[in-house]
Amino acid sequence: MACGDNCTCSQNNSGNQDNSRRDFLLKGLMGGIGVAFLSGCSSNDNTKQESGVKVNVLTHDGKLVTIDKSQVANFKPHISEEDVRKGIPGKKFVMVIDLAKCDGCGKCTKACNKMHYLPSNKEWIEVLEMQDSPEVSPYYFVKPCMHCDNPPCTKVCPVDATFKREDGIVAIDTDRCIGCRFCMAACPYSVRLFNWTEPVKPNIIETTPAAENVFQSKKGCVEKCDFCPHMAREGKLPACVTGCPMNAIWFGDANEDAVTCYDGTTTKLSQLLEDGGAYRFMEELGTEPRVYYLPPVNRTYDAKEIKIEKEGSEK
Amino acid sequence: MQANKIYGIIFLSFLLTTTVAAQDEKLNGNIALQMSSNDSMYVVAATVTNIATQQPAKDVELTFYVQRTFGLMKVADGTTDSTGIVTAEFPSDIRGHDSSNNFILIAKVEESDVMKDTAFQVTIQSKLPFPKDKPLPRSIAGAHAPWWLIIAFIAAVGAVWLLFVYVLYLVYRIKKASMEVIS
Amino acid sequence: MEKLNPEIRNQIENELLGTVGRRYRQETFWVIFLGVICIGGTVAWIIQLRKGLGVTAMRDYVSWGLYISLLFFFVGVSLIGALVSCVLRMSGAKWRYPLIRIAEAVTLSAIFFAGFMPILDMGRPERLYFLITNGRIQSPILWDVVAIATYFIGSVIYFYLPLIPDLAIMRDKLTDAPKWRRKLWRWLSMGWEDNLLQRRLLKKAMLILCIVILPVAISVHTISAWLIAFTLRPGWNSTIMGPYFVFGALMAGTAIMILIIAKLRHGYRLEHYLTPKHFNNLAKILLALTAFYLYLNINKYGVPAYKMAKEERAVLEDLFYGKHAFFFWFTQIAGLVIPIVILSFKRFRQSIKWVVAASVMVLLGALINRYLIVVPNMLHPFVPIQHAQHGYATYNPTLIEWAITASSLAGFVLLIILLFKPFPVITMWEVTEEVEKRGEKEIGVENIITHQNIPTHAS
Repeated sequence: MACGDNCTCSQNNSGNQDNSRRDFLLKGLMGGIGVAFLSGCSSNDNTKQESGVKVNVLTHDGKLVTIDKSQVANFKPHISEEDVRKGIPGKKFVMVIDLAKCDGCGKCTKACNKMHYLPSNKEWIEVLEMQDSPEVSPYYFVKPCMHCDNPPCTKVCPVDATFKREDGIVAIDTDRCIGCRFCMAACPYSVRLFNWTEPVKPNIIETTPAAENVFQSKKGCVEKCDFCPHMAREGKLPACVTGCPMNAIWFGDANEDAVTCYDGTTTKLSQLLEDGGAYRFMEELGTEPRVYYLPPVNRTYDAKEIKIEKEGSEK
Repeated sequence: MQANKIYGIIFLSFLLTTTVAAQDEKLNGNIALQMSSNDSMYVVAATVTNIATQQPAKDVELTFYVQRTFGLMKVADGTTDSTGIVTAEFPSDIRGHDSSNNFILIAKVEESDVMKDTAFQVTIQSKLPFPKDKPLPRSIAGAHAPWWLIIAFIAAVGAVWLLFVYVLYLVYRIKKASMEVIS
Repeated sequence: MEKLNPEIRNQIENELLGTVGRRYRQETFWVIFLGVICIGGTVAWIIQLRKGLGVTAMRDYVSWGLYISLLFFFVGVSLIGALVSCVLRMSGAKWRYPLIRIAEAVTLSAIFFAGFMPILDMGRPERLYFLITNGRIQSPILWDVVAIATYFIGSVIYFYLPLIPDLAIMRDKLTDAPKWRRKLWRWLSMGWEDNLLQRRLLKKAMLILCIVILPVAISVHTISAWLIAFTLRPGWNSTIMGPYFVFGALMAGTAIMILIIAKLRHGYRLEHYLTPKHFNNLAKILLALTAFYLYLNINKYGVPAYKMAKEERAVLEDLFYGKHAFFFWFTQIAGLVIPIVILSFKRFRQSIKWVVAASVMVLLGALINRYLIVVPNMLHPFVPIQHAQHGYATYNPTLIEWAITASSLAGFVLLIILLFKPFPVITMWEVTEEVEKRGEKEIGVENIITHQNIPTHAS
């Protein structure tokens, strides 16, 4: 009853039962989001009184709470715009992807999409099939945003909508982005996506500044992998890392010289890079990525099964 | 011969009962840590005592972790000897956790046969300098432009616009030139 | 040379003022035709604003398409004003005088639409003011905006300066015009009464502007080239882009100039003022520019083609014998080689028809070339395109895009026509002055004195 025709909950709920956040969402929907949809336009003036309209607010510790609409203003963001632009103090985030372990299952993409409320046709973290030359064996290549230290994208942004933070993250402020797509042209890794049409919005209200929102899609704005800063603030790993059962993705803090993977194993970053013969993707471009790769040696999967798509083919 | 056999059985049953007893009720332990270091290694000496008897607990497996943002990094492990002491070494190139440049070393008893899970932590000053949060420099890629770019930009654009203004001033003088003649 | 007979001067001025405000049937047809296209484009734009850029065929890989190609085209065409009023002035070409106002009109219209194209391409046009409130001067987009605005203002001033004496002539002569017009002319002509001081000041202003406008014009197009040259993409990551764009632009601008004076010559009955000499001289410039542009093309495509580095190869193969091969070879052969051959012969250069034909080919080639600079490179990024959704790995512009593109081109031509309506298309005072000083031949006009009804002044 609560869900009107214009409600998006059916898309959101399907297949997400294991996520507590979604459970909250469900409860919130029962609490009358449909009512909010119907009467949202008429009840924007009674800020003091109880409006009787319930909304879902995503708090900074990653929980969804259902509150009265009149109380939304009480939910002050716990971090300011300056905090978001500066980054998390004392951190330098870094990712290591072990190509020898990646079997191309794509669970990182699924976990990421669930975390950021992305539809299946958007991939912030992509799994590609690569073969460097015909005789060498193919491998799966996982491609998140490289969060370069010399980022070609932030150089060209005319309004400082995409920016480099002191903690290494390259973030996008979707309240600022004008949609010129220069950053997309500038990114040699093709990680940036554009919202060509109105995205399907989840029924949540976020109080954090736009650049650390969980749901970043806005019509006419650019979006991309953000290294899940809202999780890092809580000391939690990004969605792709906790979604990778192969332990192929490591995430951590270069200042601490440590990275952690799915099963919680934490190891010394410098040791991992040294022992694994790590490299960075397209180092020759001088973009200085913050994502390292361990080469696909002694693979845990059968490389012969990988089928390389013809370039430019579509689904 | 027979007596020996009997003693043997008694001994065996004693062993069995103690093991069963231990499984039923693991002892509560206490860990004390003592740190020292040499040039390249930290040396940690952990003393495990049985809280109930205040006696050293022996054969307890200890794991040493360093607390990191996203998990515990294992650095060493060992088993206590008859004096309840385990000594372990790990490299001293452990970085601090935050700007205080301390890191937390945790000694843990996990799934031990003789002892309940317990942990003890100490805060240690790292020997390595902690990288400071430097504000991003003025750069092409950063939020603030380098001074040379700002100066060059303003100089180039300003020169052109000043000349435009001068040209418009000349137009104004054209108008003045006419009025002078009229008057 | 002696002073012109005041009677003859009067006749010449009347003749040139004849086009002001007059309705020509063919012109009215064009204005309506182009206006309808513009209305269609506006409707398409409103649809695009409401539904988002999803109505275009641009997607995450080809994130720039026709609009940005057109931006490069318009910025390019706008260079013609600087070429005629600045380069020709500095090289002492006296035949430029009848062409100055036409060139500045083309420039004004082109730079106006060049400023408009990025807005069409923006995902969030309502946030345009962020460029001022939050602008980062490290971004070439900001340079481009500043340069386009500067060049636009400079071009308006340059359009206005030689207009002052002509406005004074209109103010004095067209006394039966509506009152508001006469008032406007009086106000705009700045009390021009042709005294020596005014003349000196005007000449000085024009000289200063002529010197300033050239670097501005070159910077406008160089910065546009940097929009793509500043990226790391294969095919774009090249130092040749600045000069490549500038000379391609001068070439396209010259071609457009030839087409417009060919149209005006008969449409406005200006055969005595826009003569085969102008076509011949512009054809020579066009020949030099096409030849030089071919040379730049050989450098731009030939040098990487010899090496065939991994990343460039995909783009080059696409252009040489892939999906875009037809267009590529069309721009090279029909857009450059054939016009060069045509224009190399004196006989063809002196025939207006042949010069016009060559210009049409050059212009068509230049337009397609802008598209080829933008789109094929975006289809071949460093990271191979895989698992692309339907429509993401190709670019076939939609009807909306074509409508907006067509209406931008139509609006460009329409604005030129509208700029010709309130003013004489030939700078009256300068042409008569220079004819007095140097004679008809050097200015390139023919029999403007003798064909008048009044018996000629004894010379």
